[in-house]
Amino acid sequence: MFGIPIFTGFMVFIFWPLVLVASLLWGHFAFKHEEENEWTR
Amino acid sequence: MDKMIILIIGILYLIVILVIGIWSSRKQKDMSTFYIGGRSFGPWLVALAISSTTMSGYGFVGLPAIAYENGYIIIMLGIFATAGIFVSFLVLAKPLRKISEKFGSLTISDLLETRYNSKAVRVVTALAILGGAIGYQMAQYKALGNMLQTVLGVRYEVALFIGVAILTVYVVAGGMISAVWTDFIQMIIMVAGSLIVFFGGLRLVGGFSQMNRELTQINPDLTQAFHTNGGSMTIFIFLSYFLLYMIGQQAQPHVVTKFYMIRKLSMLKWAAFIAALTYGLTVLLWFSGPFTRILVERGEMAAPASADLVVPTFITTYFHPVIAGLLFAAVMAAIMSTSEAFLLLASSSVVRDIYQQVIKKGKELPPKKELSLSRWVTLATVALTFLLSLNPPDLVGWLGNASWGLFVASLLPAVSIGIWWKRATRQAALVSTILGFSLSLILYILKVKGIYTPQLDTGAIAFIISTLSFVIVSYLTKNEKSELFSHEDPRIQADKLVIENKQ
Repeated sequence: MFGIPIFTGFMVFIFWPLVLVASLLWGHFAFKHEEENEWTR
Repeated sequence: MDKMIILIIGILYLIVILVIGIWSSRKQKDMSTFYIGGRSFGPWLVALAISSTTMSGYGFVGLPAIAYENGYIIIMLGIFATAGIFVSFLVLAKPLRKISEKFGSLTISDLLETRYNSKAVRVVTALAILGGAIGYQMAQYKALGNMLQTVLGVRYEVALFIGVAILTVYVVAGGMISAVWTDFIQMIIMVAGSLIVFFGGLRLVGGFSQMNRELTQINPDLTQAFHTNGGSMTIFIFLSYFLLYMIGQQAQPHVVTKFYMIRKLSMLKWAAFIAALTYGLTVLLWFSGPFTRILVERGEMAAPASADLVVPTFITTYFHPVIAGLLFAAVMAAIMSTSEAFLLLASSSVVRDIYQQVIKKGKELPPKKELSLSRWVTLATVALTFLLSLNPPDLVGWLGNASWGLFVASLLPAVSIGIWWKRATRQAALVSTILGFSLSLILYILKVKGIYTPQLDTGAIAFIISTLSFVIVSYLTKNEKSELFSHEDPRIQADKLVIENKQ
């Protein structure tokens, strides 16, 4: 696809967006506790 | 006329940045605001400060130049660095922010002194940071000189002098508050500029698929994630980039000190995503390397005199002067935002970690004296780096890569492993820092001189050895309690009590 080798395509079109999704999900789960604490403070 | 318009827009941009610098310097009261902005910033400011500091002149000018010569392997580096931003949040964001609040750490060396209870660790890491900062700064200055040289049409040395003079005025005036505010604006300009270059370039070469077809025709290695047809960037370099940029991102002291600055821990929730996304978007500018390569091969564009002139030549040749002016501002932004972080880093290493600890034997300096001393040290660092940059030994990209590797090899074990691993000892921190620093420097010099070129990147070799030495020495030496682990999280303590009561 797009004239690039499979592995290059995997890195650009799958791995790269996955990193962003992972950072979004991590942010939402990792700080739940802090958020609750800050609200109740 | 075209160059005039580019220049006017560039100057307007610099004036805006200077005004912000001066405005924010009025808010600056003490060292805490000078270095970490008084822990008062929200997620957007911190995230964009992290991504704009990571994306430097080395990234904006140096890496497209290497992509011009080597193709997609450099885009892989960008992908790993995007992932590296996330990994550094994962490993360091929470503990660093908490430690900074609890122990008042302002710099990485402050943190390491608390962790290992050792002034020696503090001084040694500060020296490593200073050495790396000067190398990295040279890459920024060369990029700045190359950029202004193209736009102003003057000699490299003159261009370098003008650029460095402007840069220095507002870093010395403003400190970190101005750096964070200007980082924020600069990153927005950088993202916009990268998108314009990427989509504009795609139109020029006839689309993504067409670009890849032509690159493969020129050399099949150019579209490979690593070279398999005789090119020099083999799978070993690919793996080196994984180690240095995805794992090693967290050892970049100019980036991680930004974790200290956030107002509330929960604000980090969005910061990782915003930082990774904005950084990833700016990586698109690196495609200007492959674009230029194709246009040169087609005979539509003259080959740039030096690979480091790829971005400035591409921008000034193909974009409307107004757009070119904005793009020029974006590249300047990349250079300035990283340079200012490095200047602050160098001055904090010298003043807080070396002068105050070694010469003043740990005695606190009056805040005003510390502030003025920091400014003088910043000026001295600028002068030294300026002289070194007049005749740099290598392309911007390789200089930046070597300094990045130097930070990873000398700091990552002591900082990232040390924060999480209670068994780590001060002797291990000292050995790994000294070994990582000297090895990465020696191997890089051997490579530049053409004496020895290893298959792995020189920084990656030094990093592997320094990590192994850190683990081995930790097991061989006596473990001591660290303040850092002395107070457990109250939630864990509460859980333990519940378990004990049940028993």
